[in-house]
Amino acid sequence: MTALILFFLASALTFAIKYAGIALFAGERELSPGWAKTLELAGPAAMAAIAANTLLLSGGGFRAFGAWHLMALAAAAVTVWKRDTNWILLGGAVAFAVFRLLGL
Amino acid sequence: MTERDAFSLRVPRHLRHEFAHGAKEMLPLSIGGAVFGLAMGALIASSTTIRPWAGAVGTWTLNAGAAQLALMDLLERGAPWLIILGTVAVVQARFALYSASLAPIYKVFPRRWRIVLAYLLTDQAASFEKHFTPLLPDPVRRRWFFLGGAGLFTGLAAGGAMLGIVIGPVIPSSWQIGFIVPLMFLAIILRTVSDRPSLMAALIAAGVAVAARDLPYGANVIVATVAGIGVTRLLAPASWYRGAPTGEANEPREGTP
Repeated sequence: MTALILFFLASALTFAIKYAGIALFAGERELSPGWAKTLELAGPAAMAAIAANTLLLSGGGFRAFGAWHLMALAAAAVTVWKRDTNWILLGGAVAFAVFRLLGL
Repeated sequence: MTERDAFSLRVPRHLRHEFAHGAKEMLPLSIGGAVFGLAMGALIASSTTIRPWAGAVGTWTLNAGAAQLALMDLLERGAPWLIILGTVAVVQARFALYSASLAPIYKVFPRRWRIVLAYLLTDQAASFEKHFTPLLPDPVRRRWFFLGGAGLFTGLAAGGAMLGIVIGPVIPSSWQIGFIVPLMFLAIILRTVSDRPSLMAALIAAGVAVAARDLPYGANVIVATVAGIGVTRLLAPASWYRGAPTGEANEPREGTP
């Protein structure tokens, strides 16, 4: 039940964010350059922080080097080849499975 | 075509055609969304803090893959709600930018359509709608086209998650399905970070997240995010940014469900 309430709060917050721009900027008003730059940085910063947190850390310390790190390198390599989210996900997942099968 | 007809079952054939056309155009991206949803569902099924039915309901109400992964990860780590909701807000902040750039397109739609399309807004849907708007001058046809595309994407992504919740329990824990969390975020970052300010913010945030790992309640993520944004805004010269604050320069890029 706790998780469900949290999901509902997060859903309301997410909807408010998604609707905010539509509601506020449908007329003549425009987003200020400063806010636009700040919002543009929010996604990369937040996602990089979460990626680093979950990839490099585990149980309060550093994650032992292995399949997780190699999966990230494989995903980066796929990005060089095909700059497409689905291919990066597929390449990373396949690499992770292979490294796990190899005992890493 | 009146507004009253909009959500009734008596939808004229030409609008049903636009709906189907939008869904067809969105199908390739939606397949990726379904696969991602499948992994998300498996992650929900393996969670120790989220009951599968709550995860299923939450998937439909939230309709935001990155935010849901962040929420689930922090909940699993025992973070307080304020930290979790703060993190969700910063992960989702880019949607304020997307919706601001879509506002001129949506303003001719009735309010209930704006509400539904806002709920269905994802990185993919925002990119899709910006791309097809010039090709659809009639706003009534356009909104049905958007509904077909964005609706299919959300339907397949959430449907994939439901399937993942069902089949998740048979996935052995040795598979470490949690790897999908960093992989998904990496995929978005690697795909979308193409300018120097975004790269700088991402690198600073990643570094601070690791350096601040001892902060309690998983607060290192939100501290790192604020640091990444703040330091970049302070240090990055104006010439590094892509252009005008709204309009085409801010066109959404393909990312996550």
